[in-house]
Amino acid sequence: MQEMRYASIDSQLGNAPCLCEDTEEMFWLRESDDYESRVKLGNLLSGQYRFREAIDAYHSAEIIRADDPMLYVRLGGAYLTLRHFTEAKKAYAKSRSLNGNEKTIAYPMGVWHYLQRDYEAASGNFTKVLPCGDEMGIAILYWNSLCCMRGNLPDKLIGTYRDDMSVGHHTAYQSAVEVILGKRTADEALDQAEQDKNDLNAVVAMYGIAVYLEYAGKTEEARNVKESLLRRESVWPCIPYLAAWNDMKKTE
Amino acid sequence: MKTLYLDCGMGAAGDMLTAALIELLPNKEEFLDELNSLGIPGVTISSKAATKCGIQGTQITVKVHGEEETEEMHSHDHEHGHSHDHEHGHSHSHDHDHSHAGEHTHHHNSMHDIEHIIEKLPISGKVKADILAVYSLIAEAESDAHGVPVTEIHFHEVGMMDAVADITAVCMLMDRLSPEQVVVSPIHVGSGHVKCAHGILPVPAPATAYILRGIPIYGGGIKSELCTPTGAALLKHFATRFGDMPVMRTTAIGYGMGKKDFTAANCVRALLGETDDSGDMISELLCNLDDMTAEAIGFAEEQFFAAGALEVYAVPAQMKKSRPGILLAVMCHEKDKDQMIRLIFKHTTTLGVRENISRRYTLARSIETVATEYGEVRKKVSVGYGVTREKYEFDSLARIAREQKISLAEVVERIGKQAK
Repeated sequence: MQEMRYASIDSQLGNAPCLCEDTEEMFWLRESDDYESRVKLGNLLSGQYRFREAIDAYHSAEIIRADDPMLYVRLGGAYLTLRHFTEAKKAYAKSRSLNGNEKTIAYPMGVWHYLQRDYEAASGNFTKVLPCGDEMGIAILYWNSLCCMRGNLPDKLIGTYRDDMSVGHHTAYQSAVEVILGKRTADEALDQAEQDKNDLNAVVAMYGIAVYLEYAGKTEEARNVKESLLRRESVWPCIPYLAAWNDMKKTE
Repeated sequence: MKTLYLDCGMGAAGDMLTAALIELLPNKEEFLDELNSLGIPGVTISSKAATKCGIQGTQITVKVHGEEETEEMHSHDHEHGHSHDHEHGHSHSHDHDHSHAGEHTHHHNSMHDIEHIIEKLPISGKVKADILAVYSLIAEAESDAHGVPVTEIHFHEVGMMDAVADITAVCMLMDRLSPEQVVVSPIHVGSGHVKCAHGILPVPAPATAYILRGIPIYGGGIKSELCTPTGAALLKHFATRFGDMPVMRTTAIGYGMGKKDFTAANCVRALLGETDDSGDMISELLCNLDDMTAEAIGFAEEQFFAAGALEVYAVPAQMKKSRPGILLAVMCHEKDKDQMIRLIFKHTTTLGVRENISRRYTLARSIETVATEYGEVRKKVSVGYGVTREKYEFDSLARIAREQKISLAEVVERIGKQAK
C-alpha cells in the first residue's frame, strides 16, 4: 500500500482508513511524555491532516497543563476542521477564559459561524480581527464580503480596500476581492485561479469567486466552480475548501 | 547534624539542582550576581519563578552569548514552521527540514579545556576540586559508554558552557550551604528512548546509567529522560548516602523546576534542616583469618583505606583447631559497602564476611592552618556534644621535629607558645 503524505478528507470526515504514517520525528515525540512533545505531536499530526489523532494528542497534553490558551486554539481548530462544532466552540471559549488573545480566537470563531451559516455573527467575529496588517486585512475583507453577500448584509469593510495593500502571499484573497469590487472580471480571475498550480491559492480564489457568482444569480456556474475546487484535495483542511464542502453538502 | 535531603522523584538535571539549592539561600539574587561575575565565558545566569502542577519554585536559565543553549542548536537539522492559522481552521504548520552544515558553531570541549576554564575562575580550591571531580565522573562515564580513553572524550551536551555554569553553581551552593550530610532519594531516571547526537539511546542514557551504578534508581512510568549525566554526576559526587528522607527538622525548602512539563511536578525538591542526632549509619564488615601472612594483611588494609574505608583494624583471635589468627574489621559508609565486600574477598583468604550496621556519633571536624616560625602547621579542630578539641596534625609536627632535630613534645610546646 502506498504511503500517503496527507490524510484524506474521507479518512477524517468519513470512514475511509487513514493511510498516512508517522514520521520519524513523530515516533520520537510519542516516546516522550512531556507537554511540549505532546503538543508538537498534535501539531505534526494536524500538519498531516490527521486531526482525529491530533485531538487525542492535544487532550493528552491537556492532562499535563490545562492553562495554555494556545493549546485550546489548536484543539478548537482540529475540532472545527472535523466539524465537531460544539467541541470546537468549547475549546475556543476555554482559550478565551484563560486570557487567550481575542483576535486569535475571533478569526476561527468567524469561520465557526460561517460554517454554521450564521453570516451576521461570522462577520462580527471577522471584524474583531481589525485593525491588523494588510496581509491579514485582505483575508478579513474577503471573508467579510462573503458573509455580507450570503447574509444580505451591508458590507462596511469593502470600501477600505486599497490598490496598494501589501497583501504579501495573500494574492488569492486579493484576486477574489477585486472581482467583488468589479476591478476585474470573474472569468479572468477564474481562469487565472484554475491555472494556478498552487492548490491553496486556487481554492481560496475560486471559492470567493463562486460565492460572488452565486450572489450574482449564476448558481450553476458557482456550483461548477465549487466542484472544480473540491478536486484539489491536497489542501482540504483550508477554510475555503471546507466552506465549499459545507455548501455542497447542503445542496446534495 | 545539618542535613540536606534531595528528593529526586522526577530525576535531576544541573539546572534543577541549581534552582532547588538557590531557593535555600536567604538572598538568591546576591548569589546569582556572584555567579555572573565569575567570568564563565559568555555565560549569564538568571532565575525566574515557575509553577508546575500548582507548586511554585525557581527555574534557572543559562544563556551563552545571549542565547539559551538547547540540544536542537547542536543538530544540523532545523525546522522552519510557517503557520497559516488564518487560512485554516487549525494551526497548520509546514515544516521543512533544511541542512545547515557548518552554520552553527559546535562546542566540543575536552577535559583539558574544562580544566582550563575552571582553573581561571575566582573560586576556592575546594569548589574547583568539586567541579573537576564531577566532570571526571562524566568523562569516565562517557569513556565507558563510547569505549575511548578519558583523554579522548569530547563533551557534547555536557561540555556546553551551560553545563559548566550548572556544575559550578551547584558546587558553589553546596560549599555555601555546607551540609554535614547529603541524603538523596532513589532517583527516577525515566523510561523509553531519547535521540541525541550519538543516535538513539535507551533511557537512562548509557553515561547516566554508568554514573548511577550502585545507586538506587527506577524507571517509572514517564517516558522521558528525567536524569541527565550532569545531574547524575552531581548527585553521586555530593551524596553521603541514598535512601529515604531521614527524621529531620527542616529550616528551608527549595523547588528547582525543570523546563519540561509532565503529569507530575517536574522538580527537584531540596530540604535543608537538622537531623535529631549526629549519628550516621556505618557498616562494620568482619572476617576471621588464620592463613594469611602479616604482609598480606597489611597490603589488604592499604587497599581498604584507599577505597574509602573509615577504619580498618585487626585483633588477635584464637580460632578453631587451636590456630592463632586475626579478626579483621573494616568500617565504611553504607554506600561503599558493596565495593568493600568485593575488596575483602579479593585481598583476603576469607570465605565469608559478616556485617554489623552501627550508628556512629562524631564531632564535626575542620582543619585550620597556623602560621609558625617553622612554617604552616595544620590543626584539626573537633567540635560537638559540648566539647571542643584542638590537635596539631602529626605529619606537620613530625616534619618540624625532623627539620629542627628536636622531639615531637618540644615541637608541640614551642608551637603552643607561639600560638598563644
